[in-house]
Amino acid sequence: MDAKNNHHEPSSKQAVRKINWLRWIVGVCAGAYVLYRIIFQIVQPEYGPVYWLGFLNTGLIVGGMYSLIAIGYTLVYGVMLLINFAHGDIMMLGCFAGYFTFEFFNYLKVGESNFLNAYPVLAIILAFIIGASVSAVSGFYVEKIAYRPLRNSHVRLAPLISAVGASIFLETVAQIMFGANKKTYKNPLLLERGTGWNIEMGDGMIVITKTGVFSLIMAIVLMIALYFFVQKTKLGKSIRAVSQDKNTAQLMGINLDRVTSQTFIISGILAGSAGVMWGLHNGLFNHFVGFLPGIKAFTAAVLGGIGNIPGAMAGGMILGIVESVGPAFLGIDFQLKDVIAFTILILVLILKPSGLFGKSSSNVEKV
Amino acid sequence: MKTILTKSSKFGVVAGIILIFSEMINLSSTLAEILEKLFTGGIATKDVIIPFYMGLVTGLIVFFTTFAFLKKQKSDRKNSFLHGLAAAIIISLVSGSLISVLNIILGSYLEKGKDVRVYLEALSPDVIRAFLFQTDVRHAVMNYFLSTFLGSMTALILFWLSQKTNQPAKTIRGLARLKEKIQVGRIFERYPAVKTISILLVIIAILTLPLIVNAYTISVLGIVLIYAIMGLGLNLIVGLSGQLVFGYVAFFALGAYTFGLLTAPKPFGIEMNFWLALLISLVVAGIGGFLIGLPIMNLRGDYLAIVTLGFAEIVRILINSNLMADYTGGPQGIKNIGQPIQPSIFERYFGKPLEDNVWFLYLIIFVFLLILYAAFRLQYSRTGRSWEAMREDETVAQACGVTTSSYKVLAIVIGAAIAGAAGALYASRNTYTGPSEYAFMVSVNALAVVVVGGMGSIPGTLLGAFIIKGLPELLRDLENYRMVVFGALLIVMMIIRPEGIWPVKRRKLSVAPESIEVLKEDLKP
Repeated sequence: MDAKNNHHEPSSKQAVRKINWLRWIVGVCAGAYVLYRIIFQIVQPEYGPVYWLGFLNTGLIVGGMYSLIAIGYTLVYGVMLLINFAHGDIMMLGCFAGYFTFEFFNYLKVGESNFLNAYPVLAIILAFIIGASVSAVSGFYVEKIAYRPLRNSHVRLAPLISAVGASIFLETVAQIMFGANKKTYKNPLLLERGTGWNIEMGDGMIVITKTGVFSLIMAIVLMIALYFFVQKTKLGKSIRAVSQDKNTAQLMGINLDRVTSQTFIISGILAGSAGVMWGLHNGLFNHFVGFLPGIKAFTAAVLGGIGNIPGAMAGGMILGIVESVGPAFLGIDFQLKDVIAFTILILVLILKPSGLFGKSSSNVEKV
Repeated sequence: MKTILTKSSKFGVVAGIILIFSEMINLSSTLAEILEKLFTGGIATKDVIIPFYMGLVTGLIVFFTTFAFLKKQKSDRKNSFLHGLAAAIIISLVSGSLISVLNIILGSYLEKGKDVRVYLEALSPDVIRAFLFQTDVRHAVMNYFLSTFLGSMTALILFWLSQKTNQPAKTIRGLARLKEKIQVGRIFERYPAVKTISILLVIIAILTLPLIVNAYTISVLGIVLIYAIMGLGLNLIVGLSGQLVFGYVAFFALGAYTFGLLTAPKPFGIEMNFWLALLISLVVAGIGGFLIGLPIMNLRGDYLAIVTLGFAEIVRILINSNLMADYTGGPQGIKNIGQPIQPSIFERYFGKPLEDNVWFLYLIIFVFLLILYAAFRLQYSRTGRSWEAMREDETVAQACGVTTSSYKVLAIVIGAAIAGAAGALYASRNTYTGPSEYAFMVSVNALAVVVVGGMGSIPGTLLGAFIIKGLPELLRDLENYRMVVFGALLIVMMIIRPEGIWPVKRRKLSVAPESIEVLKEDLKP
């Protein structure tokens, strides 16, 4: 009816109506099911409050790592409008780098004990620095080799397929080089896995692990640092400018190539730190470690509204909590916790493609 | 001169990193082994690799890097040879010293008797010895410098010669001209009978193939054809309608499991007829495609990719889980899946029934030809044209009257049904199906089939299936490096030749020769 309106929304009216109708059905069904489970859990509680707090604890720790990885997706998407499919594998490289650093410090003798336990704080800091820099360098080169030549490609799917190629390449190279069997992180005694503080509550107790607390604090510190970096520094300003409008940013004297590289370096640093945390907290890892966290962090980024940095942080936390609380809440097998994350991804994309914190109009077009 | 220095040392570092990298993943010694087999005709069955071939591989890597450098370097005509010489020497020195440092470290570990396999799995003591040219470290370093130097010098001389005589460029141009002259397509256009006859010949060749090849080739052909079927299906989705679906394996699994449940004695014990079960699994996969396609029909490329990937993971986890274990057998999978019964016609014609694998290959070929025909008809139909329009520009397609959302779902449904058929064939061929067969890598393989061959091109898809599934079977030594090569290939293809090896040709509006005359008559003033 309105010519202007039609110009802005190219999809035909019929299709829009169909999708709205679908949205309503899916939304009502999902909402009703969640409501039913809430009532069910109140009427007939399967788990005591202690368990719920325990789940929350696990969720927060995993959520912190998801947030760090998700920020990388969001930053890169903002600058390049590309899902960096290799991001999970960049995290994997950071995890490996941290592992080798700890092994080296464990091997290095200082007096009677080894370096790892003589100077644990220094060892951990160095491991984070090395893990983050390995990931940053690999992110930089992945962008330079696999994405930059395709920025103006006439084939629409080319950058994404190239990203998949990079992901497979990194994964299989790590597999051949380091072997497919699972490896165990060597933590310093200060941060031993499994140990921590037991808090007794009513009929049970929660174990708050040292690695968990450390990871969560580290993640929050990194996130705050990133937030100030993006908001206050010149580079952060240029990243925001590029993600708002590439052409205008270039006209204002911003070097697109350099900003893109720097974005990849920053997202690599965050992913590498997340990788080292992952290793410290979970212990077991192999070349495949980046695959699932990568996809889930993408889910988190979508959940928070892709391109939105605080959204990615919140999305990661929410996803981590939902994922660890979900199986108990829905009364399903704990094997199926990955299914919950993917279902959330699909539901978000159906119900609110712009994410929980995204601007509604501008982002829908991107989807 | 200074720029030459810095640039060439950069290239030297690149060459050195490639050398180190291929040593770390043990690629260069595998290549050396293959070369050795090639040159000695596979007679040398000794376990040790002859040092000469090791040096040859090293030299070749440096050769290609130097050649690339010289080609990139557009220096002035004066002094170009001297500049090249300096650059080549620097490249060989830098790369040689990099690879030597690695080998000195590895050699010292070897002498101390330490096993580096704890951290670097590819480097067993035998492999390190091969990298040290079966001698001590000092000689090995000399050998490395020698081979890198020879490699870069050969590159320099060859480049210089080619520049002086302009030979390779001429040859390539000549070949291109020859290709233009032949133009098979025009012959087909002019004489339709030739086209019919050649198609018939190809079909006859395909039909006689299973009778003359050995059992191993039959099994490879079966896998290649099943992947070709999958590629045809995915080509409709990715190549024609331009939607990047990563979770293609979900439909494959759906078809395989439906078929398994319908024909296996356990858990349901239906043991249905092969053809009916095939049809049902095709339909079930199609319905799965519809259900997945419906909510995501308004998503754009990259989101669609991740969502379908999520769907595939959901399917895989559900198959593997305890929740569905009563039906899917959990990690054990479904065993004793039914195979089709051979009709008695074969026995009547050939005197004795065909061997099982030969008969099954015929079956796969039959289904394959059916789907090939369907794919061809679809591609050049109104639907196919709508898909292509949508792929090129969605807004324009909508403006031309294509209801994009329903066409997108249609593409996913048809592609899913084809994958379901492929899955059913695969399950029946193995008489087994389990969750481990439906990992993400299957989707990647199917995607690689489509991308390598050429997106949207049907002959390209077939070529892609042979390259992705057939070549690794032929090059068994390189089995471990298959995925590495795929990954690199996907990137390189996207950069150098995004349209694939056998890209699709746009059909031109053709006018019959006699009507051109009529037109000319009409257009005369």
